[in-house]
Order: sequence, then structure tokens, then C-alpha cells
Amino acid sequence: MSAAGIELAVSLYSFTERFVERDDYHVEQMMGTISGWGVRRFELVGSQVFDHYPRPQAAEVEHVLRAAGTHGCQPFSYGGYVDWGRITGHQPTDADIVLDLTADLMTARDLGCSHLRAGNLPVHLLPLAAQLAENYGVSIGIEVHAPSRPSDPDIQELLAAFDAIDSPRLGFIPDFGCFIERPAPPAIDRLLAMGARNDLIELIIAERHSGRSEDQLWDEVRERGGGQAERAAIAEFFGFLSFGPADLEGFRTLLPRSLYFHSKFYHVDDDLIDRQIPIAALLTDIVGSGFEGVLMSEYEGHAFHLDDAEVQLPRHLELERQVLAGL
Amino acid sequence: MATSYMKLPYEERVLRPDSLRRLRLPGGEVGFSLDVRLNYYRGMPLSAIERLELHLDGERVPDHLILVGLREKLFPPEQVPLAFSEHWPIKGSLRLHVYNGGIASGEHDVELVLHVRNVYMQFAPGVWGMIDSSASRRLVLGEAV
Repeated sequence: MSAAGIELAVSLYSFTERFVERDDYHVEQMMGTISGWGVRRFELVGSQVFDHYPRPQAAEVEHVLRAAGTHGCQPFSYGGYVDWGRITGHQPTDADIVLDLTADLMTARDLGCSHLRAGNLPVHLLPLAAQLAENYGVSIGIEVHAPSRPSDPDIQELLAAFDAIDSPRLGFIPDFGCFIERPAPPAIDRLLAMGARNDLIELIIAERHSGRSEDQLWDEVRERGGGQAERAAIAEFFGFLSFGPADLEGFRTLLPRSLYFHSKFYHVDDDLIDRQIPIAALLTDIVGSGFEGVLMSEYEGHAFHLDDAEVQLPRHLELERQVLAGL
Repeated sequence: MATSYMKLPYEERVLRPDSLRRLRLPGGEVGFSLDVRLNYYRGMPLSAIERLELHLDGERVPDHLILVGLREKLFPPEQVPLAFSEHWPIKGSLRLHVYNGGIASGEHDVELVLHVRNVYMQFAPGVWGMIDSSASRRLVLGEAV
């Protein structure tokens, strides 16, 4: 087993908080930052970075390429979408979907990206997608993103389709956000600041997948002295901050058809521990599969309104380096 | 039918402190303009706007007095759902041109109701994730730009 063929890269989406909040902050500053960390390849999200989407103006593409040249960086992947709801009241036809896919492939090619992270594509369009990928010289990856899990039937259906088409230009981009095992520390800190008791938060986390309902759990927490902050925790942990046992078995089924990985994370402690995502287990499986390619760190701190990507990303990169060095 | 509304923590940027301005023509003041940004992390097609209401000092501004501007283009509110090829970028503002004859100098309470269809988040045919980009703010009327 060798990790020598894995290159660490960074998604510029990681800098969302500052990008959205500050008009004077754009891709050149992001690339200057990542190049300072020794990172060369990056991903960017077109509908975020460009003023015109799905087809940016030539000057916008040139802006990215000029910044990349200045900082010795190389666009690796282009984050596209299928904006299914663009036309009001209209359910997209196959032609509409292929139009969006084609636009993103053109932009990916203009940027010199080898990969497109495409939006969700219907299975029956995948053979055509593989042909388009070949035509444009850009591989198409479908992201497996939370709340989906690798073992979900629709993801396994996608895997079967990839196997049947058997194109090296078509595959998965597993996102590590699928493997969140407990809430992010900033989420817990917020609940504690609201007055929640730490022992009750830990109880709620431990009991989240015990089979008890929200109401049953709330009854016990209330009997132990919990209040509205603990009730909010239960609601969040059963809702948008959901988590659970990592589907590593399902993850391993995707590896032969994975093009690269979104190494999503929400928080790494200063002692280089990610308490949410089982990064060592995931990297062990990736390296064990013989994968050679890109591991794309993607920080999601803006979910907690945190402008600390410049602190968190170096920790995450170092955590990945340490894990890979041990494999 | 829509899902519950997502509201990201960028509400402060929707109505920025300098977003309310006089609207002048050579013959004099004809109304005001209001710059509006999106409370999200990426841009959206203009057609994704499903609800746009402007209230000034507690009074609803009639739609027929408003033109919605994006870059060099203008749309009456009823045409906004048709503007599917116009991308509203995350760092860019819509400019609402309001032809109400003008408003007094000083502070005004501005309330914007802005609901946006999340165009890539379809849960079932016709069932979309929704973005709540609404905001309220007391703004000082600035000079025309």
C-alpha cells in the first residue's frame, strides 16, 4: 500500500465566507494563499466565482487563468451544476440538461481543468455524458454528497451504470461530508453558549441512533433537567445537522469508479484531530484501493459563519499528510 | 409547494448601509433606488426570484412603480420569472428603481421580502428548496449615483 500517488489540493469554495463578505477578495488572493501552503491544484465553483453563469465571459476565465499563472497554480476541477429550476414552471427536458452539461464542459475546457464536478444527471443520459466527456477531453464526476450515503439504492444504481458504460471519463466524487459521525465542534459550542449542558449534549449525540424518537429523547433530557437549548439540540441533530455511523462498507464499493475525492471537513482541532469525519479510515481505504490522484480539501466553515479557512485548511492538509505518511 | 426556507448568515449584506439612494432625472427627483444582494453562497438566475416585495416606512411599494435592474438590463417585476438567462452574481446587486416621486431626506425603514427558488435543489417535481433572502434595515437616503 502506498500513498505516493496522492496529491493534496484545495477547493476555492473553502474560502466562501470571505469571498461572500468582502468585495475586495477574489480568486487571486485565494490562490496566493494556497500556493503559500505548497498546494498547486484547485477546484472552483462557476456559479460562485463568475458573474455570468452557466457560460462566463472570456475575460472572467482569463482572470482566473492569469491569477493561476501568477501563483503557479493549476485549475484541476470545475464545479458545475444542473440548474434544474432555472426556467420557471418548466421541468427540464433532456435537451435542457445536456445544454447545462455542455456549457460546464466548455468552461472546464476553457479553464484547462481535467475534471468537471457535474450536477445530478439522470442515469439514462450517462452514456451521452461519457461521449461528451470524451469529446471535450474533460472527465465528468458525479458527487456523492450528504445526506446521500454510498449504500443508498440510487447511488448503487449509478455505480451499476458506470460499470456498464465502463468509461474512464465517468465516475464518482465521494464527498466526505457523507461520513459525519458527530456534530461539528462549532455547532456544539453554539448550543453550549445557548445554555445547554455538556453532559446532556453528549447524551443526545450518543442516543441519536438508538432507535428512540425525538419525543422520547426529549422526555428523558427534560427529566434530567434539560431546557430549550437541549431541545434545540435534539431538533438540529435529528434535522439539518444530522450525523450517523460512517458507511465505510458502501464507500469501498465506490472506490474503483472514483475520479477524485472531496475531502470535506468542518473543523480540525489545533492538535490535528477531526472529531466528525473518520479521515484515517477513509484514507486507508482510498490508498488500499490503489487510487492515484487528487484529494481535494473542502472546508465548510461558512456553515457556522466562520472566516478561518486560513487556519483550518493548513491543519487539514497536515492531518491528511500525517495519515497518508503512516499508510 | 416548497420546503422550509434556508436563511444563511449573510443577511447584513442584503441591504448594505449605502444601498438607498435618490433617483434623479434631468427634470428633478423621480424616486429612489435600492441595491439588493443575495443571502447565499452562489449566484442564481434572476428567474429564480419567486417573491419580491418592498416596504418603505411600513407601506408596501406597488409593483407597478418598480423596475428591477441587473447590470444594464431592466425588468418590470412581472417579467422577472421569465429572465432565466440572466445570472444574478453573488457579488453583484440588483437595483430596484422605484418611481414614486421621491422620498424625504434622512432615515427610512426598509423591509424587503425576497424568496428565491434554489434552482439546483429539487426534491420532487415542482418541490424546491427555498432561500429566504429577506432583510429589514433602517437606511439613510443617499445621493444619486
